[in-house]
Amino acid sequence: MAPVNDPLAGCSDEDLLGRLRAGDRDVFGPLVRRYERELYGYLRRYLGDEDLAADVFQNTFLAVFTKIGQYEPGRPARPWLYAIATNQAIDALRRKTRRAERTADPLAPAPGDAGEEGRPLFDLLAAREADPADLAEGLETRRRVRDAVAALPDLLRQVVILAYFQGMKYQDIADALGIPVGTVKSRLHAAVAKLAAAWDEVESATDAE
Amino acid sequence: MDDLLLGYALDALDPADTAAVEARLRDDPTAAARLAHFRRALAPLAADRDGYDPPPGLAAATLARVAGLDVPAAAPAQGPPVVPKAPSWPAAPADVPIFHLRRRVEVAVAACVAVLAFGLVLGGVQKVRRDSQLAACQNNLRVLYQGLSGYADDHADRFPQVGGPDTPTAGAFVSTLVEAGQYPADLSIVCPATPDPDPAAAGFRPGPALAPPGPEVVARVGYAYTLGYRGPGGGLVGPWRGGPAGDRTPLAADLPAPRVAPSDGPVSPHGGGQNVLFADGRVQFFTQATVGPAGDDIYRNDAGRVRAGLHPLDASLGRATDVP
Repeated sequence: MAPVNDPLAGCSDEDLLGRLRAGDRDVFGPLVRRYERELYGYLRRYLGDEDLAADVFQNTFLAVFTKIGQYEPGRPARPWLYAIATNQAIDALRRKTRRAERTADPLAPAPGDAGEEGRPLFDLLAAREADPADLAEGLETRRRVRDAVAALPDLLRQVVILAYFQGMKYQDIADALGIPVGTVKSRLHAAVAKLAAAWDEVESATDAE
Repeated sequence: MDDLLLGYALDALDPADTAAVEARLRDDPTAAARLAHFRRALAPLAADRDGYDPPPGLAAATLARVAGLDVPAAAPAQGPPVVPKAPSWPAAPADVPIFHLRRRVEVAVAACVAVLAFGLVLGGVQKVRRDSQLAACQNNLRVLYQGLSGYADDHADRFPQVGGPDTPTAGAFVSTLVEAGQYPADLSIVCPATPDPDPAAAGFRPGPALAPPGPEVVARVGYAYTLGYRGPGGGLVGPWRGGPAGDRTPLAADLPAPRVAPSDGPVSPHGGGQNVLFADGRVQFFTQATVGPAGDDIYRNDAGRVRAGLHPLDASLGRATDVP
């Protein structure tokens, strides 16, 4: 429910960051709350782990607080925040990967449950047995979608999440990831091609049954 | 062109590219077919459009973590230690060797400088510590406000009210916020200037449904909270955004020193004052307790008691065990 008397309701994200940079700590809390659901949702999809996503969310805003001097007043806030979040997430994934004694290869499928790395997308989509408690078809479809996105290589998964689920423009994605717009386009194209192939495999398997 | 068509399907293009794609779509059937292909490829993703809910209290836990950062020390006392002007050498007494006399003066001067320097450094360290505690306490209150504000967002701009059957004392606002998912069950927000754990700090032991497994979990908030005021019919009225006192409504503040009375002067958890959190989220340091609406004493109502205010502009904050 939108608060009626929130004194900062009319302030843009850029205003909040600018004021924080100028030393107004009272705006930090509202900034965190504004992005709580959005950034957590992004990190949850990207990392595939709710505890890790919560941890990285906190690390993100720790970094925002300590590095606010690096924010250029007037610069678009959303890509800047996503850039910090993405870097924190990448670091977290690398630490997780090192702990699991695996080599971090950005073009390999994202680290997942043991034994799933290298399996065809089709297997990943079909192998999860439905929980008996999940009676609604919609829940099963959602699970398949999440699995398909999670199975994308790391660099492709980033752009799909930012473009489709977070609704960001090409330029903002490029700014957030620190890559050229052309690279954003090519990665998205590759990601959608993989997803299209995944849906086709599932449909073929369903028809065969 | 495929990249632009995909971007168009995602609504990820800037206005100029969007216009270019739309112009192309009007004239090129193959472009329309490619667009349809991309939309089909993206369509299944809509099943997961709702996203993920953040865990309860994530924002508050984040702010608490930031509040726990070492606060950059305030600049110590400026300038080098004051060195007394070296005295001119007195005329040496005839019977004292000049070397020994000079040595005594050097030692005396060095001792003075050492004492002065030690005093300045010690004073600087103490000031830095006080400043750090003050800033950390203010951050604590900002963390507190996030939970209160989140609760108000979901409850028609009303902050938690105490004095009911399930929330009889001022400290019960913590349980209200934890049960509303605004704070984690193991929250701990205590003023760093408190020398010992304050037994009057609001402690809440969540039930099994809320408490994580492990040692007993207690959410502790070491600040005073508003007791509300009595309405015309005697009923309790809790605080809300835009209430009668507007931005001047105090919600929480440092716990008052034990001997607080209007005649005692400033309360002193921070050596001469206290931090106060207002309904609009401001946190300010004051050296007096009369900072409520129209100069009202925030720790007592107009009758001089730690009870609910007697009217809308009569602020009164209570410790955890105080009742309205």
